[in-house]
Amino acid sequence: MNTKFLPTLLATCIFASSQTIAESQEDEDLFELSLEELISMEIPDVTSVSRKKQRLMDSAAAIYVITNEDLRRSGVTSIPEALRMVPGMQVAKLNANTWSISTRGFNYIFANKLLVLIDGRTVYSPLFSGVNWDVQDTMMEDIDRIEVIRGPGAALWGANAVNGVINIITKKAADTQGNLLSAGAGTQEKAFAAYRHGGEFGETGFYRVYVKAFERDGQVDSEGKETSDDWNMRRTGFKSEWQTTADSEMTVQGDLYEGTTRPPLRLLDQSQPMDPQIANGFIVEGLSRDQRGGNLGAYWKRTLSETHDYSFRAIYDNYQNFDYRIAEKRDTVDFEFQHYYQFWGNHDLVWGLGYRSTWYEVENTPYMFLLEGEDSKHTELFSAFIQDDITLNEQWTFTLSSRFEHNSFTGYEVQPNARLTWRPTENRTFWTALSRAVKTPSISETALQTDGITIDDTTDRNFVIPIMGNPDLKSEKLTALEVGYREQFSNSFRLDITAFYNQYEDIIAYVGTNVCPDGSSSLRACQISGAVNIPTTLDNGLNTKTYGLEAVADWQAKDWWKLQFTYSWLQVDAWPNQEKTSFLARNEKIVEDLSAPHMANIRSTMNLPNQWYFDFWVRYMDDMKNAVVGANTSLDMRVAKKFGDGLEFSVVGQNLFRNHHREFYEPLSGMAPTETQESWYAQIRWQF
Amino acid sequence: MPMPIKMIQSNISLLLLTASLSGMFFTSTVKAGTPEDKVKTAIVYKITKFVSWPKKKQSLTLCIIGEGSINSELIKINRKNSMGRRLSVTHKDLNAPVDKLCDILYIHSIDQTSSAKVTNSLKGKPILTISDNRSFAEQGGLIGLARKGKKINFTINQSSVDASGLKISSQLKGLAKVIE
Repeated sequence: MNTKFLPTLLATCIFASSQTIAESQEDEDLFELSLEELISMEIPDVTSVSRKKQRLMDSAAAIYVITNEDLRRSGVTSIPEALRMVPGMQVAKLNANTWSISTRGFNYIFANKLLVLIDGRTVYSPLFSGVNWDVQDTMMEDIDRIEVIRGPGAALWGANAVNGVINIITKKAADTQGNLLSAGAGTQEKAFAAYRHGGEFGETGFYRVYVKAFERDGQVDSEGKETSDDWNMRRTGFKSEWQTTADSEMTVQGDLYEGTTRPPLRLLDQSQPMDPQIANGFIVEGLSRDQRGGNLGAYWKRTLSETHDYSFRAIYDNYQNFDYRIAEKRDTVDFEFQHYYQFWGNHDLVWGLGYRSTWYEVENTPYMFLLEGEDSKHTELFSAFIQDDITLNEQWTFTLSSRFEHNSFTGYEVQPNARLTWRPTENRTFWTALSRAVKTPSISETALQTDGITIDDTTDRNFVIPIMGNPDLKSEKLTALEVGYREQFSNSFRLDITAFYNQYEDIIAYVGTNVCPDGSSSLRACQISGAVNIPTTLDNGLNTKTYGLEAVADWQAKDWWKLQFTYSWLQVDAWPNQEKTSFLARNEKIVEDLSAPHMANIRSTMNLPNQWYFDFWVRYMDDMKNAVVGANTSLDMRVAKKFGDGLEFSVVGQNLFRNHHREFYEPLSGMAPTETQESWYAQIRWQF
Repeated sequence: MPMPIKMIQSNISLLLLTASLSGMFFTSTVKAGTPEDKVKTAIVYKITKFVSWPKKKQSLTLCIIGEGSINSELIKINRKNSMGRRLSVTHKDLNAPVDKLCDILYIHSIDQTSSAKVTNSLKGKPILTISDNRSFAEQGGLIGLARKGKKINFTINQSSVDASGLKISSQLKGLAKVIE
């Protein structure tokens, strides 16, 4: 490529996915390879954009794929940390086990506009439509890839896929045969170990089982003193697949887990004297939050031909959380049918039906309770989707899709989407998409009362803000316009840029009310001494507009040296859609100041002689005004040495050359922030 | 919400209308092959180098049965040389007399019954049948390609090969799963 062009590109920080390298390989002359090489070649694919396998280069969406190699080479030890690689994805730690993860704005620990799936299983909590990231895990070595779509994916994946879809896909059991042992220890990663065994059964069957456990240290407070937010989990699981008939395959998988996190909370215990609580900033440490759960899923797929298949999925999921503030138990069953068929040669039709039922039980506490004295809830979701992918000619593809849902909160919702792809040459793609998506209200927003959890002491007074759910809430609605450009310049450079403009209506905000948590009506403040108590409820009070740019560049600088640059820019403008109150003005400011306007990443992976590997990762995050966190840069590093095919030693340093720093804070969350420290760990990985 | 059922109906009919209109206006186009197609094609080409036919051949005709993106890849091995024999690639209809026209037959994207019919009719004839249909070799075809996870591997049916009179080198068998 033009060498003058390159530095300009790098300087403007514009950038691509690591899939590139795999993709450029496919353009090499495969006929030159030996048969042995051909049958051992790995074929890349993505599925999240269109629910069928397609080339990453051709997808009409802002998709980024974290590969298994990315996970290994970056040294990340959890799924949330891995998501930091994705351009435009804001990942910020509130404490050792709580993250705020979002894309395209609304960065918050209860961020609720992302849909997260693990092998097709929805993992968001209907309590707050967000994700309990601290229990979403599996063996990192078994993750095949994490496909992340920024922007709405609601037409195919359903409500709440408003600002993005994260699809975590684990390897097939056939690809994880033999034994793998992975273990390590370090300063923050105090101890961790995972073991997996894969084998065969019957004529066509493969299976694997795994066990995993870890213990992570807590972070520190702003003075550098240890806090009690440590985190430990144990989990086990399996995956198996076999052919039920010549043309159909069955996959059955499941997991069981249990563990404890100790998020430092900010709580006002109204039965205790006020003064000591004010003195220590309402922080309560060491309360354990035990969680356990399990899931079992079966997936059956019949492949009639390359262009005709159908599948059925059934999933049961159980989750139990014994939190000091509210104990919850949840059972979910989920069924999904999908049919893919190509007709007239140029129509790729995918349609499907889904049903989900959730039984939800809570143990009310003075801090949080379901309104109207209930202690359980049952919600149902019926859905149907259809997509037609029309190949107009060799260069143009047009996709029309829509999802139709009926949910227990707002009734019917329609979420259509149209996408157009233009591929003037094999290596250049332009795409645009117009979508509508909704975020349906959650249980916490419609039926829950909190008290003593939301404490604001940013001024010299202490405000306690009880929040009461509102059963009349409407859905938040998004209309999104996206344009994208992708180009493979040569085998060594690839560019992927997306620009978006989003318009949200009826964003939920908290507004004043005159009903106290105990149900008494009071036009004056509710009874409480030593703090100002301002009861609030929720309303669809804000409209918001966001726009921005996300870019990825992959550069294979040398055969042995790969670099990736990502950059993202985000602007948020919110305004009340009704008479402006001081509450709405405050909400407006929070929404606008939640996210960092600029973010950038540089990731480098080097394959050195004698099976040595050296990798580093630099992250930049701009100001987050609401969290009062200034612009900052972090560095991770990894050195590894391999012996033969099966044995690898590595040392990883994270957040290097910074003592400790705050990544995120949000006073309304009810959690006290802790600070991330510099840390090291050593790991051994043995495949046998 | 006003008349949601009506809204859904009008949405669906609009979608179907647009879909069928565009179907009328735009005829079927050739799709570029996926990475999987490319690898399968390369494997098919390599396999031909390990097979000898009872009669000495100057050229080998590779016939394709079935529609799909792999066709545009298979066409790329047209005129390529395989152990001194020139390959020619053509597409054939399901009912064509493939036993007279072809030395190699690549079958894909057709249903199991039709596929079985073709392999049965070619039983004992010196025609190398290859397919990525499920269980192709198990059901009497000569060589079956299958995607296992991210990789493509292949299966050889030894008794079908013996009956056909073709010779497959042991080197190839070493890389394949061989069944009787």
